[in-house]
Amino acid sequence: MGEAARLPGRVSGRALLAFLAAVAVVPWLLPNQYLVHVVVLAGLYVILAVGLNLVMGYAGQVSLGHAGFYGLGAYVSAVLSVRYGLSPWLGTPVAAAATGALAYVVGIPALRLKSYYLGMATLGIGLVLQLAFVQLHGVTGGSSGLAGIRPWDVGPLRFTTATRHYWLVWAVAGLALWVARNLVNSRVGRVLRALGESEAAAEAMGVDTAAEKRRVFVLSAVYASVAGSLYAHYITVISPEIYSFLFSVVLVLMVAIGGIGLYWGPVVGAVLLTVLPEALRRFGDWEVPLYGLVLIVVILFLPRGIAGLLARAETAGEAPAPEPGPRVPVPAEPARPTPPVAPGARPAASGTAAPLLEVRGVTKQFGGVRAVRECSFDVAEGEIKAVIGPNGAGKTTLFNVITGFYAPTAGQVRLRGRALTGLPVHRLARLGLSRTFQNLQLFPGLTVLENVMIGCERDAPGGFLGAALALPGPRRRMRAERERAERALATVGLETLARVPAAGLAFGQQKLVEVARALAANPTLLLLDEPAAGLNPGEKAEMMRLIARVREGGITILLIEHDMRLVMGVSDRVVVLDHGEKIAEGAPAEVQRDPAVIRVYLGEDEAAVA
Amino acid sequence: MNTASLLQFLFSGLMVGAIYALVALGLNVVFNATGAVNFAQGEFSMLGGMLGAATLSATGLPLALVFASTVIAVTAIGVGMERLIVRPVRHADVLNLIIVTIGASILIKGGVMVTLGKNAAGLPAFTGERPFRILGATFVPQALWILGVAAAIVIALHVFFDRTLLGRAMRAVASDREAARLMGIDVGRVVMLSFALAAAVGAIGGLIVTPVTLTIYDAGTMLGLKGFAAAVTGGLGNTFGGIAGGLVLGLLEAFGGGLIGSEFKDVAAFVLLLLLLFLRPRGLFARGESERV
Amino acid sequence: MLTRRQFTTTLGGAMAAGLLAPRASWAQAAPIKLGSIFSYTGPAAFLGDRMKRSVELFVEEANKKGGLGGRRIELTLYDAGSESTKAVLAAKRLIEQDAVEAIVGDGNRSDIGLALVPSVQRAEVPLMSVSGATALVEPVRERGWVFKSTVNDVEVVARLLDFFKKRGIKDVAMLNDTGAFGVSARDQLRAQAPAAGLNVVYEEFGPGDNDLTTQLTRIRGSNAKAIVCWTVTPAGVVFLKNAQQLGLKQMLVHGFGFVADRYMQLAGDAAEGLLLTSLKFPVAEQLPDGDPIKATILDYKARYRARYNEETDVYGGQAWDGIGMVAQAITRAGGSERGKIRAGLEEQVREYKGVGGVFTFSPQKHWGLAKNDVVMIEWRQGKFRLVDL
Repeated sequence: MGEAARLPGRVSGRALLAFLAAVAVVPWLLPNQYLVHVVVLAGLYVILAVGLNLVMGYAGQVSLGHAGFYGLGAYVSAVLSVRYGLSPWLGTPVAAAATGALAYVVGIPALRLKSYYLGMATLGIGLVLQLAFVQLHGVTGGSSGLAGIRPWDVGPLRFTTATRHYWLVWAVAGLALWVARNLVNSRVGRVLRALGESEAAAEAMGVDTAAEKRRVFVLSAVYASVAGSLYAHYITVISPEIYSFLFSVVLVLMVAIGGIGLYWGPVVGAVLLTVLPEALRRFGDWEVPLYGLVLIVVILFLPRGIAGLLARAETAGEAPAPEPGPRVPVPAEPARPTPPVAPGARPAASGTAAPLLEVRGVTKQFGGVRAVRECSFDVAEGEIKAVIGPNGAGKTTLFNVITGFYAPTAGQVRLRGRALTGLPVHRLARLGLSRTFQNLQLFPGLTVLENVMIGCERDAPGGFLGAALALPGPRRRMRAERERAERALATVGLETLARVPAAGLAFGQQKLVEVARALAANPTLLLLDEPAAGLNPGEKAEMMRLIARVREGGITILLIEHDMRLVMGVSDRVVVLDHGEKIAEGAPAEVQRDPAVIRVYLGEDEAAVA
Repeated sequence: MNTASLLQFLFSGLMVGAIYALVALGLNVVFNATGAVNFAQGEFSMLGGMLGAATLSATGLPLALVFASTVIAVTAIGVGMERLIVRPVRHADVLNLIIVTIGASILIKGGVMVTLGKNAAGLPAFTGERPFRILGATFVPQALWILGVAAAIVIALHVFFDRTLLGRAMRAVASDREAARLMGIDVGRVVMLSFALAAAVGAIGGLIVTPVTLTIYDAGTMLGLKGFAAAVTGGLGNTFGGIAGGLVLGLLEAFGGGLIGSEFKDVAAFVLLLLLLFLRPRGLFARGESERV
Repeated sequence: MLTRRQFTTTLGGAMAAGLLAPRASWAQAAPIKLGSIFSYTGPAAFLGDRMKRSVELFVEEANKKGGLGGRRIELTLYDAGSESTKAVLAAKRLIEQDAVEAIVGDGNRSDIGLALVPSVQRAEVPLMSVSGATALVEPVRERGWVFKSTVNDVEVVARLLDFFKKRGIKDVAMLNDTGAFGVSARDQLRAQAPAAGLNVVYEEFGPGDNDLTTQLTRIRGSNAKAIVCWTVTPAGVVFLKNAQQLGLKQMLVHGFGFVADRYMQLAGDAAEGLLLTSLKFPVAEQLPDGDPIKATILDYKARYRARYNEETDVYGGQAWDGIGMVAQAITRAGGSERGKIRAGLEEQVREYKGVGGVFTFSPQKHWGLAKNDVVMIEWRQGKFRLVDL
């Protein structure tokens, strides 16, 4: 996601309170009810935009149909009030539930895949909803709209003035902002930021990325629905034309102009785009092209949105992130005795028990290319096994099959007898698999500690509601996870760099962070994809020691490597692949002497010599 | 439903589908070069119709000249849009690119409203309006122009992308931008060219259809939307899939509206989008792709 | 360095105060403040332009003569942008900030007008609507502050049914757009057709549609002897061209939202012989000299032509009548407060000769025209011609 990935990790509670205090004062500063009405509308749009920003900024998807959810919220509670006399206080939650359910259904297929699919789905839903509002005119009043909607009231107190509605709307907006803040500050926020930077890594750490995105999407639809109900019972007349595709676009613009993914972005964007058309009224017809021009100019000069400008201004005052400095060699031995990676660690198995991992006849074909053919081997509990072979031998493809990123064309993979093939990646993490990546899939915008905390995700599915409401349970859990992550960091010796943004680390240190992240998951089987690639000799030696330490902690290791010294020094057994086929397996020394292996690495003549 | 009616629906669907196909074509060309959906694509067609009508009524020049000059003018606008608005945000998020095209579409729409007026405009049919009859169904000569010109554009683009160096360079950029750049392809030029192409195709589409449908300053929005639905149906980025997608959409509207009821016509496009999403999200004609981790 | 909060609050305050501030008005004998809301951008814009200019023309001319009762009129116009949310903002701005006494114009579309009703009812400000929906002025006790300077579609449809009866047509097709205007008429037809013994086939299209051959093909397969199209958008032109293409021989009729020369010209020879329901406005020259409003119409047309160098249309006329009646109410009621204007409209508008017809309001009836203000006209050889008075 490029630039937008650098999202702020924490939103200050004090800032939110200060903002709400300012909001409370505003009605007394405004000279007439028209201006109050403008700010009421702005409040509604803030609710809409905050929800949409969660989807666009944190889940990284565009929704082009939020006007539809806005409309559904409006129509459901409006119709309930007109036909059945239902109070808006009841109608609003009913509408929100209906809208949330619809968003859930739409989200299932749409969020499984990447990029523009949600945009496409929401575009379709938004337009179908608007058409439904027009066509079901027996219920909705059709194009002429629905009038006589029951206004907001609290007992005998009727909300008649704009000012009364101001309090109501901005109270809800404050609530919306508070929930959003809770999410951003919680593990949900961290998970969303992570999956925005590397969905693959997040999945590998046990995050059900589709479900996480879907929850945020449903929440944003609920926000939109509540805003819609607020509007309907305020204006007391609604019509389908309000809930147009163009309005969905305006909502996207509010988020983008304000600054996607920035907490205050939607507030700035919503207020600006509510006030801007009113301010441009004096230009008559020219308002339309001028509006377009303003949009273009803002994005051209402020690509991170207006709030992005303010955010930069704020961080200018803070101390710069600590420089990693000259490459501090990771200490030869960790400063204190190695704690077990997990409490109650499993002792290294004797090797006669059933294998931990069984790979049976795995074949992977891409079109005409067979990257892996009929590969079979076992990994015993507690052993360190290496997979080697020349480039293009199919090693990483094999890894990707084992870890669920690819479905095999044929064959089976079993972990402790349980079939893994066909399961989604995040499920495999929960079954005890953890991995690192050949091309380093860190979350550069998160701090080192946050990166490692993602490793704890396999044990923490759900908790969305708790996070949204800042309940004590989730906070306690987060503290436990932090401790677990800190222990994992200590194992790799990087505990001093916990608060540094991962992007600022040296390459060798980043690799260690990836290992720490994988360890924080308390895996049964750890897969390391070229752990020594790109490291200098000192770092490689440390990596070897780390691998040994990890096995002592009771974790079985399967690794891909090119560095023979590391392979020979650390592995119990070695598997050799060439052109997708296993050509040798055995102890390192045996494999080293195997003529088939030598031929593959060095060529025909050398094999004859050996 | 007799044959004549069914045939009538077929003609109607093909004609409307050809227009969606052209919009989808323009969308795909830009999507392939930039990775972004150009929200102003519908406006290029609207400009073709509106500028053409304005030029004709202002100058009275022969239609062929009006046609040519309009296409050139709209292409220039497309290039201008790329240079002034798109290029400066090329390094930012794809979302910024999309936002900027939204701004451009509003600017163009508003600009046309203010300068050329709010009334609908038309163009004379190229070769008259006497309808042809086939087996009880009728169509006007302009429909043949629409189908013919659309087909010619498709063939020309196919040749362009397949046989010419420039066309293949564009396909390279679409496939892998970085690799293309490393091979010495000027990606910036390719992006500019893609906008020029999209604008030209859009303008031609607008010019050939206005004699039948009329145009108005805000006609671009719906056209862009339907074109997007068509492109997605064929698989976004699949240049020629978008054409099939357009025809499918047009036929669905015509037959759905004709056989089920006119209410269905409006909904057809978007119901199709949703169904696709659930059943075949990559589009009807997308080839499989895998991502290297 | 400003904190984020300070920045946003200051920004908001500055914008609210500065950009939204009312324009200064020069002090004289206190001017009469009137407001106007039309849509001159967005899909309803092509109607709104002439309405806006008609109202501006009226105010200009009135002020040249010294205003109303010696007080000049100060007119504030806002664009509804074809959006009801925007129209409500405009209404509140007019009522709360510009402090107008009455509003002429409701965004020139029925659903927008309806959205304004709660605001004007609550604030007790008279609103002169220019849109067709009957719900705008009925029931009167809930619409005490809303008046209408055009005809209700219930009467137009009734007139059309009379015409069909006269011509002995019993089978008809109705092809309306799905906008408020088209749907309202269709509902009227559904309600009135059975009593008139008329069989109707119903089809519809979207306001922006550009191909109606599908719907027309279905109609061709029915018994309909006449096809009625009801829309205000250019799709109505496509209707004519498609009908010509399909070689349809049925009588073609358009609703009163389509009475515009430029639409007929766009349709070319496909519009030849088209019948339309309309107010008398487009055929003023052909009215008998004794007709009560002929002179009024010609006068307005001439003034508009002289001022703007283009022709006005019946819709501009609705706005002209709207402000005309408000002005009369102010003059005769002897004051411009909101309550006085309303009373003036209810009591002083009797047999008012507008360009749309002869208006009579009363406390029970806030719409002024009736069925016999509607005529049938046709387009022949480049002009509208009166067919059935």
